[in-house]
Amino acid sequence: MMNADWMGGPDQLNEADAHRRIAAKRFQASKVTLVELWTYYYGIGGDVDELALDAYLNEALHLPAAQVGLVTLAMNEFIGGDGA
Amino acid sequence: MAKENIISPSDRLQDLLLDSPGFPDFLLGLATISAAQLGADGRTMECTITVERNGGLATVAASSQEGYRLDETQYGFDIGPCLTALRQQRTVLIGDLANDLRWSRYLDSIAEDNVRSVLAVPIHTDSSARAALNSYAYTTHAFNPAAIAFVEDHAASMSRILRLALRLHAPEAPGDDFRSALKSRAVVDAAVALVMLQTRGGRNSALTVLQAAAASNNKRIREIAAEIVDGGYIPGSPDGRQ
Repeated sequence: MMNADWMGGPDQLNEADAHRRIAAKRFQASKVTLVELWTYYYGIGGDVDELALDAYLNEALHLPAAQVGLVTLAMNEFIGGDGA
Repeated sequence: MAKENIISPSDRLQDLLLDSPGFPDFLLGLATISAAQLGADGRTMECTITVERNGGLATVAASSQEGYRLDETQYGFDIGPCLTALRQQRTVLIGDLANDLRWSRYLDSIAEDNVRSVLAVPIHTDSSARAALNSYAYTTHAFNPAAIAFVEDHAASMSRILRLALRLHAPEAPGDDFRSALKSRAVVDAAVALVMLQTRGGRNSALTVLQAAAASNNKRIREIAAEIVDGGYIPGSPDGRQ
């Protein structure tokens, strides 16, 4: 994976990888479909398309921090189990 | 087999499907083709096709205004040969309209029309819809067994293309999730615009601000966004009431 300029140094990348892995596992463990999650994510301001979200949840793409935050929020609010 | 330069009936139906901008247009084409084919031996024939999707959404297409009125009348009374063919998925024949005791209310209402006999046959579709092809003729007993078999074959030949059309032109029924996402998105976008204006920042940083505000207030992002849009505080702005 390329290290995009908004990713920061290696430490941040490792952290982003770990965060992404948790998100991927959480999505896979849920019964929520990609379309459902993307629709909710879109509803709270998400900007990346469904394909990019799919790639992110398959650990094949990094997203800008703000989008990662929205994906996490979408999971919290839509899948549940963590606050909200 | 048909030669390459001859358009086969199924190709014609496929072209019709591809060329129709919407389901009603497709159905109209189907009714017109049916009237032409079934009336090919010189008999004047009106054809209508009625499709009822699950949930009661009905589409009626007719090869002529008269045919359309004949079908609509049945819907007005919620009774009639083609509705029976459609709902019970069986062939209904009225050889002589003037002397048929079934559906008397409907038949009385169309007594002034010149139609003398009616044949309604189901067109099999998938489970999401029911359809029937109705033929109206201007002579009594226009449909002998051979003619009935011909119309039934014609209806059967339309089954496949009709199923495709139903799928292609599925009624757009965005679910509640879709609608609520759209509403919520509008509010979030409005809040993002306000935050960007206040902070002279980019969209992603405005989104981060909203997320931080949601987390620190233990609220959903759409609630925070609604508060901002309603004139509440703008988090992160110099004059915001944090």
